[in-house]
Amino acid sequence: MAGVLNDLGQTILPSVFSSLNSAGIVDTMTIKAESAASQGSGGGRIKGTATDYKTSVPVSYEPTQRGGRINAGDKPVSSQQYTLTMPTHHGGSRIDLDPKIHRFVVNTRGNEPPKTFRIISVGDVSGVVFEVICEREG
Amino acid sequence: MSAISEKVRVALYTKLNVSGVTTLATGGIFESIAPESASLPYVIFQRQAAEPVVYSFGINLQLESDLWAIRAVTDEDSNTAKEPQGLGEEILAACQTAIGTSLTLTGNTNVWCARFQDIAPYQDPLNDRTIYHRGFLLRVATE
Repeated sequence: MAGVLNDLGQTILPSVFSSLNSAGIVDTMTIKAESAASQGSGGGRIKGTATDYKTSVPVSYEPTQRGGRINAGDKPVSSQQYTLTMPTHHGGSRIDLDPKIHRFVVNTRGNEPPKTFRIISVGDVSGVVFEVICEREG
Repeated sequence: MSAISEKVRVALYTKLNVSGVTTLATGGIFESIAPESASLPYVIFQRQAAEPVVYSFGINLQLESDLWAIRAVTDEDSNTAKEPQGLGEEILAACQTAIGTSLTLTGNTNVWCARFQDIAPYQDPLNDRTIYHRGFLLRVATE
């Protein structure tokens, strides 16, 4: 069983996603990673500059429920939840997703602009595929 | 809301919307609420509470005093070199410097303009980050 799941996660699904991307069915994205937050002299967190952790990762995304508006930081914010489906492996290595420091930017496609998704939680489906719950702010 | 407080609102915005503040609060200065397009960090100011109006005999207005909240709003994405809490305090200091101790009003005289007390800091979460609020109350008296 473990061998099957490993084959699926490490070899088959990355190949399937790559083929789907080649066929124009799924997008690609960059996984941005903030450098580890340091602690400032006053006890607060200082986030570092974001760098590219993985590029050209195949991904598909779809809204999972009706979005809404909230007030946060003294301004109205439009927020929509999405599920992003992506392989657990890319370029021969595992994608170690970390909701604390990672953020997704789906690449431009035709008239579609780049889209930033903020990670809420990472669903790991048997180490074969990630179903990541994200928010996209308007 | 009285016409005097409207004059104070305009005068406060004029004082706050200067480079000394906006170089730190790059998102801008807004009354009550920021527009959706605004990016953190920014400054929110609003009339927070009114004091009883003082009249002389014959119901002649003598003095009108209000407390105005001046708040800096920052988050962890606001700056890669500063803590959001510290950045908020820097913005507030710049606000105090910009406001000074007087406001220029047309048709009324500002007789008091000074920090009254600090507002307790608070945070609210938004998706993958935390938003920090720092502020103080400004007492403005006008005759």
